[in-house]
Amino acid sequence: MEDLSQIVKDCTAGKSKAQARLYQLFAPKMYGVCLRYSKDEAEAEDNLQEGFLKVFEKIGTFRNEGSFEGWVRRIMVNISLEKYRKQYLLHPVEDISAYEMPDFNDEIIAGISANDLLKLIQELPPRYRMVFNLYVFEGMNHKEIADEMKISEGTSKSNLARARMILKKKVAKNFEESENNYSA
Amino acid sequence: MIKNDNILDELFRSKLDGHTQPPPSHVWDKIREKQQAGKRKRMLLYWKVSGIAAAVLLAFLIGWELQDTHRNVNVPLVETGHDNVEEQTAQSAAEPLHETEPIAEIQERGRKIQAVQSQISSREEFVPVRKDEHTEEIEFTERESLTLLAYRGVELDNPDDGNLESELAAVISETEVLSEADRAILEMNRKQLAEEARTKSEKSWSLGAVVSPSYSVNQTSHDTEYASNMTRSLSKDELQMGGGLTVEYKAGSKWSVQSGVYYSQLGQSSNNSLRGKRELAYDAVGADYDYFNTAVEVDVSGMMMNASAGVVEIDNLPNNVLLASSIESISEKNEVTMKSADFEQHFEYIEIPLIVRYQLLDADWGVQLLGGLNTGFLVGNDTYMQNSDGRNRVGYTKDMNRVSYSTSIGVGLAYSLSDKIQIRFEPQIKYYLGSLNGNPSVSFKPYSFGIYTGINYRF
Repeated sequence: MEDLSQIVKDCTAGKSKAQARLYQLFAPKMYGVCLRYSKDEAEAEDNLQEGFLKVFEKIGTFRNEGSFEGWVRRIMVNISLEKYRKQYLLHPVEDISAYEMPDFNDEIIAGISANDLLKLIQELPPRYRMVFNLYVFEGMNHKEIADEMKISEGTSKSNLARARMILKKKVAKNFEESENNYSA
Repeated sequence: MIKNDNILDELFRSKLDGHTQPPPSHVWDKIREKQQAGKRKRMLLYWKVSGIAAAVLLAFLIGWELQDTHRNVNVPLVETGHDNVEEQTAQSAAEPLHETEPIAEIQERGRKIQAVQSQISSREEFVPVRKDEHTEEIEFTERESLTLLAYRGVELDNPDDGNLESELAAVISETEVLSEADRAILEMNRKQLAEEARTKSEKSWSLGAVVSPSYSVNQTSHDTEYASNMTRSLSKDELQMGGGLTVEYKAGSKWSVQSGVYYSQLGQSSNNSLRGKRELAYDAVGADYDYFNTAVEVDVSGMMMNASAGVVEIDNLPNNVLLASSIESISEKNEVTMKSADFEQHFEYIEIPLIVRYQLLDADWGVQLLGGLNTGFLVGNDTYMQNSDGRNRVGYTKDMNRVSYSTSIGVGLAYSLSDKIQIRFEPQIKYYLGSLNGNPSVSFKPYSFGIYTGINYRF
């Protein structure tokens, strides 16, 4: 098994082969992270690219405290947040209160692929997507999210609630379509 | 059954945490490309810095050369005299020379005396004669420092010697006995004296005042994400007034350096009307409204709008204007809109110029070429909204750099009203070296064309 710390050391020295190896090792997983924070693949690719450039630039500051993967992942998340903050995008939201929350069973849930769920997250309005990701995948609480995104805790809570409602609705829709296809 | 949020969260977490997907291969190629570009950029920066350093050094050396022409050219003149004395000594085969005075001390002697000394000491036919006939009276030891007066003293001490007297008279009246080279040196000497006298009178300080109406031509670019939610840039180039005080040092007949304090303005206009390209469908706004097509982000710190020269933080909406806020929270009743309007992002700068001027033509009508660098300090930053209800300040542009640098080149025309007072008329083009806005999604690099008109008083 390759010695990660040696690769990191060689990357610190600017060795091009070590950088390529590090990219091979981590890019697929980090692309998965970037995809969750982006609206589409193109944006995720941009973030992955910027993230790795930053990793190579800052790798000398990694102090072997905690996991290296966690450090790289944090950089990818920060790049995504930074991009979100700069864009000041505003997206219209459908009136979700009009939908009733359907119930569906675990069997159906099990049939939904990771890519389907990824697509649902990508379709969320940007701020909801950020809050949902930070809460569910990074394990942050609302105070931390509020600090990170420069919003109030209340906004973070309401954004998470709305993100969940949208996702539930879409999972339900997905389920209904699957159900219809199945019965047809 | 999804009955509570935790189950939903867990559903997503279990399927997507640790989800891997190989990125397309072009991502790695782009990373490599960017790394190479970064290296090239650093190299370019190195060359730029080296180039500037070399230019400064060159300018300094030229300045030094121009100021010190007199001293530099005089050194060989003195040495010429010195060499000739040595030749004379060899010819005469007399006792060896004593220690001569250092050349530096000789340099310090009066210019006129040096000139005459060189005439005398370079007269090869004359010196041996004097040597043969007056060995006792004439001391070679102090020959390098002999002055015309000393030679005259010799004449007076030897009244009977008609030959010497006439020889000296010939020396003093120059010409016939001087070699071509000597005459050339003498001529050069005279010119330098005249030049020096003229240059001395031209070194001077002057103060001035200028006004500068200028047109700024907008040059902005944005990344795609930013532009997709941005007000539409207008190519409305407005006349802006500026002006200031100048102080100038004339370092020689041709060159002068100018600084001072200027006030200048810049403006960038844009409009929020529909672009037709991407209309955001704000259902809640409804078709009856003349709705605001540019996205506005609202958070605890205020309202922000992507505009041409950077993000505008809207902090002061006029009473008659409605602005959509929190559009994402549909349940609240805040689906308001904003009228179509022009926005002007307006900036004011105090600038410290450093301009070098070169005199092309020096007459009643003078012509100069000028170029240099301006350091600008942002002192005013306001955004105005103009619509059928008038012009109102609504906020300011975020991320503007406090300090900016621009280059100026131009042609100066000057008319001398008197020895001291000049009227100046100087068309200049100013170009900003970097984006005035620090937001990486925005590049705002205007250039402006101004006519600097003013008056200059020379001390």
